[in-house]
Amino acid sequence: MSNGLSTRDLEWVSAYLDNALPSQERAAFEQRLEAEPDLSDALKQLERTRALLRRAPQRRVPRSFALRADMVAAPRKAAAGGWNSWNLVSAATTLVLVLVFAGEIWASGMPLFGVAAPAAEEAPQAMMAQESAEDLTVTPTPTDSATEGAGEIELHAEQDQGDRNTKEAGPFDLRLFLADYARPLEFSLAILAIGAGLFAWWRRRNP
Amino acid sequence: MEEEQLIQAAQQGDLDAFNRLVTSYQGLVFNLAYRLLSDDSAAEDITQEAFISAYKNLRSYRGGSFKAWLLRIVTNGSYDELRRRQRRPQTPLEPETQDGDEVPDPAWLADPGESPQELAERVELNAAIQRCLDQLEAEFRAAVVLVDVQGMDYAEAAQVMRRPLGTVKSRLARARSRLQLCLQGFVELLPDRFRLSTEGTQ
Repeated sequence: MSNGLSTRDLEWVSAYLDNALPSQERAAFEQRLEAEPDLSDALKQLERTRALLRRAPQRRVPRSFALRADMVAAPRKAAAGGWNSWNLVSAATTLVLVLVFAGEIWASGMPLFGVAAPAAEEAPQAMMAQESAEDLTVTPTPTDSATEGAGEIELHAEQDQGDRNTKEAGPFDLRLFLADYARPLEFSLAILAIGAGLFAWWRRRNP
Repeated sequence: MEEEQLIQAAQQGDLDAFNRLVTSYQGLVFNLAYRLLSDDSAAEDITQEAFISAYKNLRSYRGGSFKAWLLRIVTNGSYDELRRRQRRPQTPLEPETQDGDEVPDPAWLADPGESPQELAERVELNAAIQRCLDQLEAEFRAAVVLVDVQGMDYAEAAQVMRRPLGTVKSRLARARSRLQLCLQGFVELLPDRFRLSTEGTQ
């Protein structure tokens, strides 16, 4: 504030200087100016400040700012420099990566979106049943002869081998496939997604 | 051709017509940007960008003061630049004095009919005004530059700043008061005829 003037008085002084006070307020302000030397002094000082600012030299324009046609030409088609096929590759690969990752979680039996894989509930029961069967067949009873016991063990061992062969040659099992190949698949997809993304970015920068 | 006709022609895509408007307003636009940014090269960039933006958005101009419409684009561009500087402060490349003040380059102020002493006085005056302007917040600075340095009336300044008339009045009054205090600090540097004290007049 100038000369201890209130903000309102300062605004009046400033507006009076610019002849921006309504006629009634102007007349009232002029009466105050005659009666209050501080107000009159503030007006003079602000007038000199304004005069000084009006004397601020105008800077010479350093060059012409006229526009050339190339400055206002329409930008290239977005497809050329913006979205390109590598973006699509990157996006698609990322989507597959997410699906594989979700499938891996599902295959491991962990609940995915609140739904557990059927294997998760069936597997423990199947394992228990298998263990019971093994207990029954492998453990010889005290009344069995050693030869008979050995024969049964060999027989069941052959059956187990037969079961494994059947499993290997059976229909495609997604859970088994994911359990075996999810990690290397995820790694490859991640590399592909990042690579395609980087290449798409480079294409955008260098259309 | 009248300004209105040039604007209409430019709205139809006539670049030559627009460039005639550029020639008319480039001094005003550049000086406003320079006073708001206190930086020659930034003012150049903002001025060029403002004209490009004005040409591209000329269809959105719906009449009224073309000058106010154009200066609003420059003012907004300058505010953006000031905000960007606040986020990423920069060290000026201009040579500095021992006190850290930039050494003003008097070349642009040179006037063929002026004595060396007058030139020196104007350089000092310009540096003092710019130093004091730099201490004001962006909107206070804009108000005082538009009204006092560029000589616009309150209504035009309000259009440029997109603020009510009362707000512009209030900001201008406070900006002037703060500039007065600041410029009094340069009293020893300013020539007698520029001094603010009323002693000399009494």
